[in-house]
Amino acid sequence: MNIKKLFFIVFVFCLNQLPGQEVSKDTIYELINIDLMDTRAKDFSTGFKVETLDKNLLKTFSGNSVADALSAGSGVNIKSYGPGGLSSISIRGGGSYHTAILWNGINLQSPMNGGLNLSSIPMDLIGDISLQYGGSGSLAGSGAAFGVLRLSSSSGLRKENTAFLSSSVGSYSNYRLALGSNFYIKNSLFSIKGFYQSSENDFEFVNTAKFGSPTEKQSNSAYSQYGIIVDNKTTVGENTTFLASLFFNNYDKDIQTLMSDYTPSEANQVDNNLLVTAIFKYSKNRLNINFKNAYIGAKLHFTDPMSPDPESKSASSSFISELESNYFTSENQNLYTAINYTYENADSGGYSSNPSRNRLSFIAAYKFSHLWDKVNIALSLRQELIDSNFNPLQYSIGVDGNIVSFLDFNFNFGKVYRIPTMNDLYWRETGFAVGNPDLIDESGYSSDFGLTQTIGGDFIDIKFGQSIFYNYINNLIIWAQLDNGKWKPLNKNIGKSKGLELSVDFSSRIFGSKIGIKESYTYTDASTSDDEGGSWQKQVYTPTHNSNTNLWWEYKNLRSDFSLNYYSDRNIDNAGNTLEGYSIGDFSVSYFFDLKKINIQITAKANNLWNTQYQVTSGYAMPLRNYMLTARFSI
Amino acid sequence: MNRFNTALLSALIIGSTFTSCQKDDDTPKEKGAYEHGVFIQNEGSFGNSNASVSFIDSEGKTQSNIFKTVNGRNLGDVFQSMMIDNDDKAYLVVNNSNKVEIVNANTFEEIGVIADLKSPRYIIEDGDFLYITQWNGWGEKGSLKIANKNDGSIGSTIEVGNAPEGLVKVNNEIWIANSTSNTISIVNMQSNTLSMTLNLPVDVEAPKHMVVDSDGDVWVLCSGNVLYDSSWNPIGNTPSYLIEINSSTKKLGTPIKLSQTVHYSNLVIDKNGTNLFYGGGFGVIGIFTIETSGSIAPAIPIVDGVFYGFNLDDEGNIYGAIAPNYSSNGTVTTFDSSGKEIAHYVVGIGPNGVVFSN
Repeated sequence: MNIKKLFFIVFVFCLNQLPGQEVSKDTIYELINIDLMDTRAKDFSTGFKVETLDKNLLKTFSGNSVADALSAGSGVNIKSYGPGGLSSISIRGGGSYHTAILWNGINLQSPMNGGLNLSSIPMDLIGDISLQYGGSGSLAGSGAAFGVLRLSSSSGLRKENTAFLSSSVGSYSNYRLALGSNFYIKNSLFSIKGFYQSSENDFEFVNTAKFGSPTEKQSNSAYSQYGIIVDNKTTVGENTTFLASLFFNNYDKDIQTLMSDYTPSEANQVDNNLLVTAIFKYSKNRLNINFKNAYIGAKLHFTDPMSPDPESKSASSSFISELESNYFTSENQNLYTAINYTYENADSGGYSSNPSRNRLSFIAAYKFSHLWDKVNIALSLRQELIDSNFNPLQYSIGVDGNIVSFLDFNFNFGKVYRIPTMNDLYWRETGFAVGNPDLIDESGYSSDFGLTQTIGGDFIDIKFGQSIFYNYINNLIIWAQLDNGKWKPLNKNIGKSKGLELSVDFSSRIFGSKIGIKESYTYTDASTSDDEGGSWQKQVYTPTHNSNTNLWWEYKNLRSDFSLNYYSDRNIDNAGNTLEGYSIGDFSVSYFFDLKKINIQITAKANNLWNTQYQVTSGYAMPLRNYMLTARFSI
Repeated sequence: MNRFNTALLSALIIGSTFTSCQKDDDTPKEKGAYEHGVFIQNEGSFGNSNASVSFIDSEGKTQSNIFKTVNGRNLGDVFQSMMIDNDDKAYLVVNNSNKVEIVNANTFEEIGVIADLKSPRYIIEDGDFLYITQWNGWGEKGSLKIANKNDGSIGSTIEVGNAPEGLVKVNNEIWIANSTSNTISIVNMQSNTLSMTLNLPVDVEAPKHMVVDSDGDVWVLCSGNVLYDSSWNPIGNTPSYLIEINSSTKKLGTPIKLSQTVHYSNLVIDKNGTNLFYGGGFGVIGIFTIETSGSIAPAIPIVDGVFYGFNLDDEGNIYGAIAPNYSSNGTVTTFDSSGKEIAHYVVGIGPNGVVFSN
């Protein structure tokens, strides 16, 4: 860690201890969550379909990763290279780099490759997960072309002086320990959590890729990780609040052997990630001002003795500073303006120098709320300047409202874009590949229209949802082989995605128990082509049909969850090779009880109930039925 | 008797009835759907286990991914090379799966697999034995693996030079081209020991493939290298060469310079053993031909185009494999001996070689 980073972290946390006015604790016991951290998500997601994952369901994933929770608890498509391996999200047929991943409002997508491994983010550190379906370049910036995944850190600041300890044991020598505490010092609330997890991950599977389909144990797939997250909220004065968080994660993963490989892999990857945020919030009368600062550091160390490059290291840093204001011009109208400065740099053996870039964005949005008591309209603009080049103006409009008492609608249309990654731009020239500094942004638009019907009663709540969507991206960046044999990224392709989403959310209270079913189905027709008149290829790893069903039941201190996921066949390349579709079911049961002042939760979970042999990514085995037992103690 | 057995018995009875009604004739029975035709090695994209075999039958019809069609599973990751022996067994070397799949060359039904390999490259046969070059780990010495054809077990492992590629059998020896050692390893087939290592002249680098001409001498294609500075920026090239080696005296001939900057990767000799064809490879333009008596490389290719691999049939027709990228289908174009295009076929991802049925 260099002096600049150390100073920044010390500065952030020392500021927290500045003396301030003592205020009522009631004003402090708020939730540090996405609403506080991400103004644009809170006030300007008008017209978007937003899905917030059920908190009770998320509790059953406390020993798992964000990728696992999204796979089982949402309708999005998670591409995974095996348990613990690289996992990325795809919404509505977009690539992994077409979904922005925001942590407390800060985009975590790597400036080097545009991705983020969702397996490396443990659910122990997550408070809320929400998914925005549909892109918005003006609100969420580069990369938010098909959707936005919003993660927020601990929601544990509801109470003062609480503590918890949670431990899990599962199949394949999977052990996990997490502990944390919330406490109050003067006018500051703190939440500190830490965790450690390790797994041999040596699951047994039928190797259908080998002669004779032998039953084997997965080799070279162990992983371990540890991390810490600290959240703080300090009320400095009557109108001023200071929020800070620090997240550090170390993830050590052996790269699992391909099913077809007769020699065990020896590859390993270690990731270290650090995220520090500091936000000043000022609110008075109709004006809210936020001043956000963040540092994101990522280091990767990859080793593979079988590789031409047996050891590679890379690192990237992003410094983000954003000043935003939200002014209510009247009771039902507000004007939002922001200026965002982001500095990114990277260091990799793949580059001939250490590239960096300066990004400056100007964002403005206006919202009309409750027009005619029924309709909300949000308009937004973004102009980004990268080094000395202006990107095309981004804009979007979102409308939602109530048609009749039980029928709501939403509509949005907006431009979207994605700037080239540093790998795309600056990869050094070798005999095999070269970067392309002349790349331009991918650009296009995203649109959707949806209806929801809500029926409520004393015993039953039902919500139906229907959405249609259409996305278009031009100048897709594709690594293509040139006539001289070298690979080079080019603005080569066009991408289109259209589809339909249907959902039912049913809950009922009968004889003192609660039951619910949440069902979502997505039809996706996504394809790419060299040009409009050319042949269109189905987007790889995008199922045409996928559905997610969650069935839950609560009775007194008992809760059980059953989830069923189905994915149809997926193309794995543009040559027509496919992976078979599959369906898997998971079941969990939790029992809650108090022992003196200690709240205890015991959760037993079984995954892949009917032993489905399946592959999410071609050639990478997935485990058969497996189990996990978790005990959580809190005071 | 359960229903399955009843059905099986019925099928046998009906089948034997039809058989007994057939008139005996001298027409040879077809050994399988793939008895006559051309196999295309489709390398696939690295890490995706989507290597495949395409087949062009004698009527010019193409079938894709025949290994999966017959055996219900993917071939593996990075299909490097293929050889058919005299017993109509095909050996498919799958580099990044560290294996050699054995199939019936006429039906493509799986027979077995040779494992215990580490980055295998090319394979030849002799009698009851198979000879396989393999790289081992990066920077490690390569090996020649000798496997028993009957059960696929590895009998001997002989250390050779770095990054061994093509190999040939000449006299009673196996010659191996060590592409980064710039040497030729010679293994005595009687003792299965390394008998000699030939050093290539300075500046003659990257021996990749060899053929044996009508005089029994060995021709070596040396691809040459791209030179890099300490920051891995390309700063120059060593030339590509053909060099003849007397298989008896092991005396090296005068290298024939092919190109200062182009690094050809494929070498084939015609059925008479008198005309060499070289070219193809990673982004390399053109297929050229030179007589074994020649000493100057031709300036004009016999076939223009970028071919990832190629081969010659007994009539002298050229089959050029074109890999536009590693995510979509490639093609094979055929040319007659004068270079005139004959036909065009769509094949799998990354076609890198062509093998003819026996």
